[in-house]
Amino acid sequence: MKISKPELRKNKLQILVPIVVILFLLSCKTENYDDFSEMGREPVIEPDYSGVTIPQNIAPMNFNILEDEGFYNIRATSSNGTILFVKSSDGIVRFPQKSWKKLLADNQGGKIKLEVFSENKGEKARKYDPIYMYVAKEAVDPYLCYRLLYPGYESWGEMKIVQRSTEDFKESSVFENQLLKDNCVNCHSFSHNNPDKFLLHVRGSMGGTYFVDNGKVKRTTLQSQFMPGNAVYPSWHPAGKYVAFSSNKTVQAFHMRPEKNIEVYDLSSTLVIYDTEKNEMIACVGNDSVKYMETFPFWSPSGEYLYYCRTEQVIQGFDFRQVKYDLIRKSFDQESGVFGKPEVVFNARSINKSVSFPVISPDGQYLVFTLHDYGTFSIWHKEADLYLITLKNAKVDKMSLNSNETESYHSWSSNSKWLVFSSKRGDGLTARPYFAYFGSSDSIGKPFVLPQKDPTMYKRNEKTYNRPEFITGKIKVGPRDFARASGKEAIKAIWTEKK
Amino acid sequence: MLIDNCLQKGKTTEKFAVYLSLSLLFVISATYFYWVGNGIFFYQENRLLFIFSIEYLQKFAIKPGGLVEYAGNFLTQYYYSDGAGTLIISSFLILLCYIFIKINRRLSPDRSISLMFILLPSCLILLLQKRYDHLMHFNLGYLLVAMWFLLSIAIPEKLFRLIVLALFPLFFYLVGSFAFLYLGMFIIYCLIYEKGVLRYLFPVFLIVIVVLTFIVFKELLFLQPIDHLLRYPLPIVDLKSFPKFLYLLLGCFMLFPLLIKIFDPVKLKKKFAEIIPYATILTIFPVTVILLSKHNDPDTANLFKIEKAIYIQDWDAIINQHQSSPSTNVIGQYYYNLALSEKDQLCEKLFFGRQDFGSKSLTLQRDNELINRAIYFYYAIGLISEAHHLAFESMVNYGYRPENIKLLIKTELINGNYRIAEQYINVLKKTLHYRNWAIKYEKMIINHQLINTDPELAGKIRLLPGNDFFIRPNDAQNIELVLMASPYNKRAFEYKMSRFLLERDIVSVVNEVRKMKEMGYTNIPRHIEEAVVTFINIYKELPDLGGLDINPETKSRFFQYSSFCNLYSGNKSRLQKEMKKSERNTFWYYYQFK
Repeated sequence: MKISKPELRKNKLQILVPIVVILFLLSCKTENYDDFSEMGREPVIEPDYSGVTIPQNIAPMNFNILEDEGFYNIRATSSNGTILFVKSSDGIVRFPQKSWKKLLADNQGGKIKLEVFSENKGEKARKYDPIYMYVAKEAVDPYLCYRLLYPGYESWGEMKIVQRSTEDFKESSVFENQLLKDNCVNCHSFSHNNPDKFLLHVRGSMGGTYFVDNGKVKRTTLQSQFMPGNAVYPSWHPAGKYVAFSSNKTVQAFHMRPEKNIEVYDLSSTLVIYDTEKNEMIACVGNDSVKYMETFPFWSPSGEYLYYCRTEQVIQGFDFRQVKYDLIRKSFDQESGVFGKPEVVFNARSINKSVSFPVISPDGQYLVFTLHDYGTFSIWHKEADLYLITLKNAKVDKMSLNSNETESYHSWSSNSKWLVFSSKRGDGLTARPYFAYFGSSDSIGKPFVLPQKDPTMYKRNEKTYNRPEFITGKIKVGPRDFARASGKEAIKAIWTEKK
Repeated sequence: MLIDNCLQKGKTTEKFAVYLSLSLLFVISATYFYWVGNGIFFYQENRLLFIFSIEYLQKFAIKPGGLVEYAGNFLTQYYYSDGAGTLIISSFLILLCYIFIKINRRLSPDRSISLMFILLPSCLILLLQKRYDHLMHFNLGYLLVAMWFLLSIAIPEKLFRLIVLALFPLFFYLVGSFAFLYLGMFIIYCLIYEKGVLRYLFPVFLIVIVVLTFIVFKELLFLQPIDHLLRYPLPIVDLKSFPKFLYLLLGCFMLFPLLIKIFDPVKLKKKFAEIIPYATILTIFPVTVILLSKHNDPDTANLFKIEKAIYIQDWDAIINQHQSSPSTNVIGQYYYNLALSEKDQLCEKLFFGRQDFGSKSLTLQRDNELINRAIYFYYAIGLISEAHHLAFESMVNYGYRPENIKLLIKTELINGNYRIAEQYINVLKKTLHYRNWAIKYEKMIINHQLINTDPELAGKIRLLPGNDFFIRPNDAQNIELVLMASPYNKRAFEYKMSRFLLERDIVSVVNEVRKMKEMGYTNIPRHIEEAVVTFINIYKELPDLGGLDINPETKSRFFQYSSFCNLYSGNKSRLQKEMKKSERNTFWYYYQFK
């Protein structure tokens, strides 16, 4: 009997389709456990994602189950019934990107229930108590930018600034120092979460402050003889014309008792303003009779106030443990560019503490700062914690997201609903970026570390995540653009004291 | 036999000469590296740590030439054993010869093997390998260049050759700047051996591919600076120390096709043709052996022996080594002093070993490569945070090395940072030779009590400063600060006293003696006593010894010393000669003659 070609094709399909369907179903099959024992507790997972509040656009929250079992079945169920199954033979749970997206999209404002079943050969299956993740309606900015470097001391080796998608695991370098003769790079700062407008400092032979504006990179030299040191901590004025910097003369020293590693402190510091349009550096002259050290400037979103940290000028032989910074603000007239008198916003000295990194939410309602025992470099202070000021009533609260280890640098998402902060809670040495949902001063979600494709990555990564900043899109310039700009002569800023 | 296939049938003399020369090469290399030049194994194995992990591979995979370094590091980890190291290097030299025999056969199928040009690259590499900074991946780079060249000429078909040339980007990615050596070799080959338009077509094609590869690699694929793409990993970073053998080697590679061509048409009478291979052997190997035996640096070899003992904390071996064959090197003398300190004998036996550098051999500068050695002083006196600081700096600057990661683990355990120590332990567990070491310390992560029962770690915990202070650039100040924070730290105290002794500051020595009884000393260490006796003799006053007494035996030795001095008082050189025989181990001899 002869079979025609179309018929043969049809027959093949008739055989292949059921096989494919069966294979597909087998691959999707999950154990439907009827007989299992209840563990009566949640499984231990790393990172700790139990009870966290996550944005509806976050990358898959992969984790590692730290139980001594042979095989795991994980069932993720959304409030509206969408189910996602994942299997793991080594405890590492990786959610497929597409299914995860769907799970979140169907579940905004709801919660995800994660059920973990474990099996060992020849033993009865075990079921752990479910883990819940709460899905906020508010999205987080799609990118996070941070500096990656070794956490310590004097040498830096490889150093780069990286942008990482918060919605998936794509990561790319913005700056890599091997292209600029291994110079140090620091203090990347965005004009209101804008990936097209930012600056960073390079220290070394290719040094300068590099401004990025719509794909163009410009190398400038901001330092002048009238400043105590380089232009250091920046803050963009909301109009985008001015950038406030502190200029710091900084030293570092090394502790010899094990409780502390490094001490970084200022011998002098002052605030200066850079006019990006006129290329002018302007002294930010104070009206105080006492000589102060001023640092960590931050503009209010309206541009009417400049917040900063201030302490009395140290004198020779000072005790670094007695240097306490208060939180201050000065009014600013955008027309004339003139500052008003300083006002104390938070008197940290009165409680024997010190403030650093004041950062105001883009909606202007809240200010988060770091509080520690003394000095100005909180990242090496184990006791450093984040505090919140509700600006309308000046109420100060210690934030619930703190840990026993250092919490330090922090920044807000463009919608004021997410906070990212550096925390050393993992190992006490390397800082990791933690996200926390911010509903209001009394509604702050449990923080979670930036999810990784390989959830065990933080255990192996010896680099620290420095200055995490949310940005509203992808940065278009890359390491080669900075390398090209570094080959050009730096434009020297003009110093003026007119304001 | 592989080599048999490359050699022409019937040429027994040639075969014999080739086997003889390869055997000689192997024997010379093996003898030298196993018995004489084995210091390079210790040095190179300790300057890197091969880790079996994806992250470690990624560090090399992100740059052209990185993989050849990765492979070199993989082999270098076997330098842990002198035997394995010797075998690797010697086998490599033979393999390179084998490739060149095959190339020779391709270039000149009807002629005899040019033994001289085949042996020359391997002999030059053997001479270069004497240098401590000639690393395994350089050897692999040369080998891959020769192999790729062989592949390029192996099949004469035009298409095959174009395919091999088109694969240049892959080759460049594998070997980095070594690919430029191949470029030179291949162009010379084409100009000499190819005929007609192909003589120019292949080089032009290859140059176009090279230029395109370079542009794509630089602008699109790899974030590497241009000089890195041009030079890495060829060993030409430091042109000042560029050895002439390296120029010769690079020349040999590039000009190999030309040399074969030049010497190919030489037609010799049969008897000369048979003599030439043996003449080559009789020339090249004696010259190699003479050059190998020249410029040996016994002091560096001695230093590596001491350093090896430092790593395994064999303090007695270091002390014996320096006392029996003294190092003239400041680092060797620093290690001797360190070993004495670890054995609590610093002021007892300081002058039993050679001291040429005064107090400079007590501590080392904390910069550049020296930080890797300076660490041990801080670790010895209990400045664990500074030892940790320097180990960390070493790790950042030079990557993980067996010693810096071990010190990071120990210092983190001493300082109570168990989670960080665990990270380092997990790294060390992914190595071939240090896994067991890591497992020992991993137990301490699980059971912290084991730290307190470990003699080394518990001893260091006891030495931790009682109060905090900042480390200073000046180590004399640091010792003062340690003693202020922990007044009973005998190790720091003896370093302080040793400084005074080495600076001949007997007044300061005497001023410190009164504190010793309170510190727990029941008798005064030998050299301090000698300094006190000197003080009494010069200043004619009896100092306050805080309740301790001078040993009568010391007084009697001083009497004897004085008698010698009086006997040869008119002849200082004679006096020194006589004293050197019997009294050189004393502070008095150091005080008078150093």
